[in-house]
Amino acid sequence: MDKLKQKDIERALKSVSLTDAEKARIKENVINAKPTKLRNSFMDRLIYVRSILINTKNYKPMPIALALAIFLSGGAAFAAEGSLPGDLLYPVKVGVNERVGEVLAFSTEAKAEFEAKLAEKRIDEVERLTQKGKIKAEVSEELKAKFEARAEKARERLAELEASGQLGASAESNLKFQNKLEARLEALANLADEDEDESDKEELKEWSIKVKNENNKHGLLQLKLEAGLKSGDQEGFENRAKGRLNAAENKINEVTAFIEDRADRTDEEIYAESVAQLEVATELLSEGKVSLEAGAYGEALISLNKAFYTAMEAKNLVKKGKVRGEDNRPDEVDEADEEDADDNEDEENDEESESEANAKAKAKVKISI
Amino acid sequence: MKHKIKVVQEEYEKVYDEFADAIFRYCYLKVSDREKAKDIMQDTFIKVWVYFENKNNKEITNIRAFLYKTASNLIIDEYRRKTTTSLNDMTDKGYDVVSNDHKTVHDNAEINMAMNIVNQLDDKHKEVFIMRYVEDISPKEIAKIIGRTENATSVRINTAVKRLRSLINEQK
Repeated sequence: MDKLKQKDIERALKSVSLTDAEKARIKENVINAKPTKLRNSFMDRLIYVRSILINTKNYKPMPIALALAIFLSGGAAFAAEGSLPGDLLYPVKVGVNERVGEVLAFSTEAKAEFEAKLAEKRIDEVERLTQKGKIKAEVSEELKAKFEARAEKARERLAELEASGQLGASAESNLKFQNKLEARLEALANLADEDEDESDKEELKEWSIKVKNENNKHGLLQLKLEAGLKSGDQEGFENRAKGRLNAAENKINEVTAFIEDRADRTDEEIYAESVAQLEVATELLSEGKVSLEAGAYGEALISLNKAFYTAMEAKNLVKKGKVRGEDNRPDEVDEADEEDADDNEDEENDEESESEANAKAKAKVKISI
Repeated sequence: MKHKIKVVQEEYEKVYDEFADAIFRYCYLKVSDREKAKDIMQDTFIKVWVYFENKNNKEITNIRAFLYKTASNLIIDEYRRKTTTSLNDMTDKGYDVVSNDHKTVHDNAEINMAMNIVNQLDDKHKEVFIMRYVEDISPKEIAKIIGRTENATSVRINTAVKRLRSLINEQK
């Protein structure tokens, strides 16, 4: 064959193409992988998730469970989790990880919590960027907008929950979110204190205002939910209330032990304050018990939730006082606490409790296909 | 060419129709494996679509560059996964160019020869050569896609052509 010239090479290479059949088949694959708002079924969601995963690990179709296991276990997706705006992997965190998380949140409650989690992440990102001295005005503005959007979506979901009669779930999630926001407000305030840069301080102050704003809206929502809990049909809240009783009791016990343990390493004033808080928590617990006995489960729920978080605050007070030699970051509600509450919910065949139990089970995303 | 579109299924299908071959070709010329190239190209289109599903503003200028960039990144991912096999091991068995309705055996042989030559370039130069002379992308756009300055890109393109020419002269 003759020697090729550059033009020949170009021409030859340009002629590489798909067959019509290949082109059409791939087109179908692309179209089918694309999620539409109508896809709400379990399998569709997982197929969607898998389509995101296919390109990262393996080009042959993979069992969905395996793909998820790989996704959840690591690689670029995991590395992306800690990234911040400006990092290379941040788009993966937001565009893929969070997207997948959103898809995997099945129940409305899980969705509400998911939105709350994302809202919180945005605050976290701002905090970390500020600590690194990398906070820029535009990035901060963008994050603020995202934070607000997520908080609003969270409230929408909570409203949906309320509308569908799941007041207990809504109130709990809302309170949990408020607790998170308050913890963030503390963190923002601490950062502002430590940061010497004036413009950083300003920025953090603005963030504090924004977060407070959103928190207030949630506070209003909470009042509404609590009113509903008090006045609504109490039967439906029985299981949830009993679950919260357990959680609150455990929390109070845990915090009592915690505080006592550190009594001699803690500043006297702080110790006194935290003990006082614990007493308040214990009182609320008693109130809750009384309501429970009386069958006023909705009311019990309100008191018990408050008892839980008051106890947590007592613990955080001690932590804030900087006990020598310890991790002093404030407690936030975590998975362990949720476990206690859940264990008592799956028992009865109550209508609300059953759907809630299902919702919680799905929300844990135990994929066993 | 600027493409401003709203990413709606109909529109996206048109995007696919327009760029499917180009993206496939780009992938194939880089990875030299037809099946892999198809997979990567498929994932590119899926990924770009998913990405725009997440944006509030569904307009995008220059979807072509975006497609190339995504494909480029996916190929880099693929490279990273391969620790032992070199992609250029393909030179022995020839390339799996499938005959289309429009192709002749003669063309396939020529494509094989062309690929043999081009694959002797290192990845960076091969990439810009393909983008400039096969895909007809402007140096400015190439710069965006590979993430370098326009100057650096032009230099790289010129170097690529020079090296290609000497490879051409070395042909028996």
